[in-house]
Amino acid sequence: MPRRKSPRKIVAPPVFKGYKPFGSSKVCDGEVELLYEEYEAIKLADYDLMPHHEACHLMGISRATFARIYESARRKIASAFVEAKTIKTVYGNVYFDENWFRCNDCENAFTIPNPRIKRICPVCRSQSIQLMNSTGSTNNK
Amino acid sequence: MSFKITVASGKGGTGKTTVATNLYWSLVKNFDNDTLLVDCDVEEPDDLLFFKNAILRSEVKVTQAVPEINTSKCTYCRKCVEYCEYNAITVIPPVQYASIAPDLCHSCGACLYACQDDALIEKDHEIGLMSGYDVGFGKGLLEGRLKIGSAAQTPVIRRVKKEALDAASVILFDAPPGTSCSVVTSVLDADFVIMVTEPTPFGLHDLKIAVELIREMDLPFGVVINKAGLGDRAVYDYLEDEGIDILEEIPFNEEYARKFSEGMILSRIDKNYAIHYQKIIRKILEFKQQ
Amino acid sequence: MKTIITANGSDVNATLDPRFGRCEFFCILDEETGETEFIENKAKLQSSAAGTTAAETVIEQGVKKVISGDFGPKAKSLLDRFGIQMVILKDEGQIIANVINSITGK
Repeated sequence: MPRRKSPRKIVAPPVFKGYKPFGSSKVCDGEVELLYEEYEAIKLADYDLMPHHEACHLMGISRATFARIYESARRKIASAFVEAKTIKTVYGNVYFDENWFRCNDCENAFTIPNPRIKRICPVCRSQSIQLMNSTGSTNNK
Repeated sequence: MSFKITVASGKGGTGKTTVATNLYWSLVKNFDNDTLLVDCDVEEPDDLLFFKNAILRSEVKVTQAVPEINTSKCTYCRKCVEYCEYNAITVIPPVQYASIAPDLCHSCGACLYACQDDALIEKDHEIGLMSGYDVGFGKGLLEGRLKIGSAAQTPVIRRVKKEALDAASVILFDAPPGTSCSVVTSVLDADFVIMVTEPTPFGLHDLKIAVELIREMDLPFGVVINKAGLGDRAVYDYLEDEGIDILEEIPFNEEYARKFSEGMILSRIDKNYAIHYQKIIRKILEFKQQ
Repeated sequence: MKTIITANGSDVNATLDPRFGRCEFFCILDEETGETEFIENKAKLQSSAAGTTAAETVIEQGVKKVISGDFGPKAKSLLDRFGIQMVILKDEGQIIANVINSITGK
């Protein structure tokens, strides 16, 4: 059997179900299916401006796999743009790695599995921590 | 008792399905109408593509029993964990936690035997589909198809083989490529194994591994060299050194390859091509009579 | 409070093992007294479900925090379920003694 695809780790699903072109002169036909991992790759590389070698680490995959996913994502989006197709986001091969926090000072990541645990960095005790799931800042400062 | 022939290969893409479907046609037309073709390549069953007029005859869900732990009865003795060869069971006594991971479970039943507290219940998980087809000639085609996401090839193959048991006087199995568990399950109890190879370094490399497997299993076999004329002579040298029978050489022909890719059975369209398969059958019959 | 740090060797001069399920040793640290104890990870050579088995050990040891280089999905869901905090250190080559110093605030 072929080796099973290792699931790609993503911290949060996209907040939309898809995008539709408007004002197109031709009738919008067809759609592209953008996988969650592809969305995540675009987000990490082009929105968070993270270098690929760090982004692949975050998604728990090799750099080559990351590059492949990223390339596929860009091609899908390009084809949707040029051919005025609908973009639909679909689940793909992912698991959600939610509730990870990152310390803004020492940059280590950690979970807060229990509300009784103090909301500080367990390594450097900084209070400047940020939930990695959201795109917006939930800075505690 | 039916006579069971399995078509196998080490390398993928050497022509197992070509040989299996053409052999089925030749067997039905020239030797025994009571022949059944069985597609054991449950990850990618493609024999059906070659029978344009196939009519679905039967469809059966293949299930696998995966146990679940009833935590109200469980005493957290961890006996099932010790018995489980596949690390599918997690039991943590201090926190009274017990669960079974269905993706790791092989349904061996050892945990059911181990449990003294009657805390395990088996539940059926669907792992695949078994379909029977009438193809217009012979006994038709039986195929197993693994459910997407499932990795339980061998239980599906076993189920299909059980269904095929004594269903016709000649049963032709199309095995998956490689030399893994699913291949072992497919060739197990065959009366004759046809190994399909191609005269290339890759074909030779994988053929050697496959030959080792079939010898280990002590099954009679012969080799069909498909796409003859391509590649080099290394496969021939190897077969001569090892004293392995070449059942037949099927020459490479681009026109045939094109027709095959359009889903045509070649011996149906070309008499010259059909002769190769009749030769293979004759050699196997000679073996059978010995 | 007890904390587990995944280690490459059985003393504080060993480095942090970046793998959780297949790490060599678990360093059990008592954050109050600073005492350490090293136990071998029995899951490290397991063919499958090493993360689950390692998480089992962590839960049985009654620790509240685990420090490693990364956690797989099964180990994470199990540790989450039992309220154990996971910490992923960015710098994977650190010596255990330094990790201990930074978390105990010395």
